[in-house]
Amino acid sequence: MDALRAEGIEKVYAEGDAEVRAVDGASITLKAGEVTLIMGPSGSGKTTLLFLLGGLLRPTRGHVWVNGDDLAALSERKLPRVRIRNFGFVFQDFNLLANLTARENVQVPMELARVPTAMAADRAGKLLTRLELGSRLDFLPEKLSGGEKQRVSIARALANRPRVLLADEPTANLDSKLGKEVAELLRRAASRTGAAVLMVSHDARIVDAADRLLLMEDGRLQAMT
Amino acid sequence: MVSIAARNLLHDRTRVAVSAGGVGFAIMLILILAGTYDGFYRQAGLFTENSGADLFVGQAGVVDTLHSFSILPLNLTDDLAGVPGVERVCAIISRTVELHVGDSDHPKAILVGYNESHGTAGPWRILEGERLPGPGEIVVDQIMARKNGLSLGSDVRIGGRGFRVAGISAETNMFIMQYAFVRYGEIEGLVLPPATATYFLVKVSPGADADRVQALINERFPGVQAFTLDEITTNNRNVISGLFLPILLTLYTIGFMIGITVIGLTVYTATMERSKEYGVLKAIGSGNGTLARIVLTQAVLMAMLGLLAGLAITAATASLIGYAVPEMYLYFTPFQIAFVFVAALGMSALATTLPLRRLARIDPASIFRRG
Repeated sequence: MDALRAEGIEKVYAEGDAEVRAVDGASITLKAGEVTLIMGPSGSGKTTLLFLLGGLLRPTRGHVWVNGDDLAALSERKLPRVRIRNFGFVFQDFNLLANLTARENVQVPMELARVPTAMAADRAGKLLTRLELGSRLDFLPEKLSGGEKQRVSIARALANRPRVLLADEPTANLDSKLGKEVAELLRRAASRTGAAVLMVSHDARIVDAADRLLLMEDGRLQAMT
Repeated sequence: MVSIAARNLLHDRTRVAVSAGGVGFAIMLILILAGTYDGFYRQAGLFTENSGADLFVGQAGVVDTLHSFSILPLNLTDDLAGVPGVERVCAIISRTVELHVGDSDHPKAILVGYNESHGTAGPWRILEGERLPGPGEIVVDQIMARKNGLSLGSDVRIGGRGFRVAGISAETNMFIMQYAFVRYGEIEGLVLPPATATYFLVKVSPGADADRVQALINERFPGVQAFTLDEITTNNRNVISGLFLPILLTLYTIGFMIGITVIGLTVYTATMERSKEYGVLKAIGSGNGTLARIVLTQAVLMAMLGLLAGLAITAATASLIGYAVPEMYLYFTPFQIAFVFVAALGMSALATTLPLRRLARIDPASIFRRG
């Protein structure tokens, strides 16, 4: 089943008189339960593509369909609601809310989706326990290791059972062992929850976790395997 | 909702304490000003309200008893008593005089000479001694007594005549001066020419219409003007409003602006130092409305902490003022507390303007590294 489908998306920036084509006619379909890895050099447009697929940027041309909605056509007011219902985000540098505990960080997206606080707290606790953070529920991020922070970040991304989980360089700030563990965690999350996982990364050590490998170069997307 | 607002705000407790103090001082400024104004406003009407009269009669053109001066012939007493509906008439003298206490102190007082047999115009609340001074006696206000070391039995002199303090009254402070009370006959010819009075206090007969009696007096005696108790009290209080309100509004505005600035700076700093986190919230699906609620909650929390600090600082300041400047009468009411509560909420709302504009401009994509 298709979790996300993008067709002919382009993102063109003006730089003075010149046009910069950050993403040039990319089309991609993300299937439920599948892990896709996009690799490519810096400046190739892979993060811009991630923004476009996640509704964080509006394409200059093309369409991105998720759950029946075309993100390119949605109003700014409706986009946050569509994001909270359909997407989970994992960031390179975790981006946990510093003054909230691990559990509360995972609660936040659920509460934004109007899940009652008690239920959200319970679900957050279970999710973190499944990710082997049961003893760290009430720790602030500053008390967690890098790997633990990324696991909290993954739990937060999975909190609303998203159709699509977008991960931007999820292993960049982790050592090799932890990087592989996090990639494997995302792989298992895709299998268990049925979410389509899209990772963009330079990290060649995590290709084993991907079902599909794509290359982004000069704004163009092409299959590698 | 997990309290992101409170957590972010209270993260730096020193900053919150300093800010609460700043807002507290702004609230204190507003409350002390309001208390001073209401105190003056209340005091301005106490004498007339407690006079026991139904009508005040003074010289035509004199509309209040505070900064106008009336002088009328004493024989008007009988003429006024002859007006249908008048039960009795009491002539009083009310003048600002110097009291001579000891050899060097000459405090000013509003001296009221009244006829004790009519039961009008005397002190209405006595703390010590007699309510009705006898021959050669005077009742002085408690603040006057405290400031000048007067007690029952002390001697004061007015225009060369000696009086013995027979009573100490309360609620008879009027800004920087205080009321003192003697018998009319004791100062007739001493502070005004003989056979004259400042005002006539008229008591109407049971069942008589005070407005009708007032109209009759104004009609029959062209040189005088009669006021109902409400009118003269309102006129006195309008003197205070006219004098103080423009100054007060200016100072209220300054206090309000200080409050807005302190809350605004605190919330702005708390917002900006977490701007990346607000970007994260936007990225994961929070709308600008949710972020606005977080910032507004911070501002309201800050204002409420400031309000609590302000109430505490005001209580301490009022107590200090009561001790050091007793004639500065502060009168606090629930309305004032409600007013500063609303003012604090108003400060919060205005203080969020800048942080909200900045939040609205945060691009959720900016929290990802560029690739």
